[in-house]
Amino acid sequence: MISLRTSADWTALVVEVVVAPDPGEIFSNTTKTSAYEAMVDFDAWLNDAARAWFGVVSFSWRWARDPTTGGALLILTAAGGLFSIDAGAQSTLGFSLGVGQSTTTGAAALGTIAPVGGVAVRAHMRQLAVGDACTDGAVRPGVPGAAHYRPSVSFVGDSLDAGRTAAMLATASNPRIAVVWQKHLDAWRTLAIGPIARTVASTHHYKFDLNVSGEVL
Amino acid sequence: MADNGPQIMAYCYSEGPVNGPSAELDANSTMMTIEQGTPGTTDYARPTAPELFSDQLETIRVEWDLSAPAGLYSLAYDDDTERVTVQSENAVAFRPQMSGNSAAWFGFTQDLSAAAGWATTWEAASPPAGLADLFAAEVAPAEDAARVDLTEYRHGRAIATTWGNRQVHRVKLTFRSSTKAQIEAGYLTSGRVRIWQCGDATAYSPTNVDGYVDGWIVAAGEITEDGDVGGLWTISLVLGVAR
Repeated sequence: MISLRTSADWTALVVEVVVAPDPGEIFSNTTKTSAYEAMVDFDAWLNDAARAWFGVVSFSWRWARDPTTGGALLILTAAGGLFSIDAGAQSTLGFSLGVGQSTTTGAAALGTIAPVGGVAVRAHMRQLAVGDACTDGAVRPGVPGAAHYRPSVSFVGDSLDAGRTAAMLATASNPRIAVVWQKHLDAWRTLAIGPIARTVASTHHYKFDLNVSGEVL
Repeated sequence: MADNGPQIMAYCYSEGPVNGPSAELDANSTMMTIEQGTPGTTDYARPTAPELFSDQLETIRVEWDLSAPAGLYSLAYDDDTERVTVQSENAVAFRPQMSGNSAAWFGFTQDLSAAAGWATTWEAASPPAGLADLFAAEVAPAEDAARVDLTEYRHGRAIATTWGNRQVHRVKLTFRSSTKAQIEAGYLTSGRVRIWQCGDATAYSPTNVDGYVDGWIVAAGEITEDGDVGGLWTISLVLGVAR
C-alpha cells in the first residue's frame, strides 16, 4: 500500500469516539497529511493512557485493498468492548458514523493506492557510490549517515489501479512524499516519490516503476 | 455520442455572439438559415464559447427556433449515414448557409447557393470534419503528467519537487479508409476533443475506466496504414486532461 501525503485539508479530521459508559472523547489531527500517518496517530491516541477506556478496551487497525476503487480500506477494531464513532473521519480516513460496534471498515482512504499485485519494496538500504569521493559530493564509502536510502519500488496494477494512481498523484502535496508498506519486513518506508514510469505488462495490466529516495526532506 | 461504437468528436471554436454576424473569429462556429418566406432574412446561430460538436448542433437549433421567422428545426448527426441532417419540423422550406470553414466542419460541402433552391430537409453531402466514427479506440488509463525532480543532497537527504496539473491518456485510433479524410482535416487531431471508447456515455474516472476522455491534443503521430490492404488506418494521440 502506498499512502501519499496530500494537499487535502487534513485538519478536517476531527472525530469523536465513545466507549460506553465513558463520555466521548475527541481526536483532532493537526499535523499529519497522509492516511497512514494520521491513522497511526489516531490509533496511538485511542490506546493512550489518557483515554477513559484505557485498560478496558484496546484498539488496533489494519488495511485491505478496496477492489472497487483500488485504494486502501482502513479497518479499526476494538478488543474488550464496543465503540461508537461519528463521521468526522469520513472525508479523510473513510470511517463513517457507526454506533456500538467492535470493528468498522472505512471507504478508501484519501491518497492511498493499493494495487492488485501489491507493492514491491526491495533493497531499502543506503546507497554508497564508488570511490573515496562519490558523485553525490564529498561522501565517503562507509559513512552511512551521509548516504541515501535508495530502494527499488514497483508494482503491477490493472486499469483500475492505473486510473487510481494518476488520480491520487494529482492530490499529492509538494514536495511529493509517500509512506510505502514493505511487505516482507512489515515495515513502512517514508520516501520521496520521483518520476514514475509506466509500462504495459499485459492486457489491462500495467507495471509502475517508482524512482524513489529515502530520508526525505 | 455514438450509439454503436467508438467515436471522436471535436469542440468548435467560438467567441459568440449567439446570433447575428460575428465580429469575432468565425471559423467553424456558425450556421445560418434563410427561409423561403423571408428570403431577405439570414438568421445566424452559434455558441458563445467553444462547444462540443453535438452541443453546438443543439445550440444552433435552440437559437434558430427562437429567432428564425417561421421555422422550427432539428439538427442531428446520424451514425448510420455519417451525415448531419438539418430539417424543418413544421414544413418551412429553408436553405442552410455556412460561414468560415463551417461547410467542411458540418459536412455541407454541396452547393448551398440560391441555385440550390429550398427544401424542408437538408442532408450534408459529406461526413463532418468535426467528428468521426471509429473502427476502434484504445485509450490507455490516465498517467500523471507532472514534472518531478528527485534531488538527493550529499548529506543523505532527498526531495521530490513536482510541477504540473494535468494527466495524459495515450490513445490509438483505428479507422476505415473512408474516415481518413475526416481525420486528416485536422479538427480531430488538434485542439480539444472527446473520445468515446465504447458505449459508456459517462466520463472516464479512476472507477470508470471505459468512460469517455475529454481533453486537449498535445501530440499527434502520423496516420499509418494498419495492415497492407488499405482498409484500416491508425493514428496515435496523446490527450492532455486538466485537473
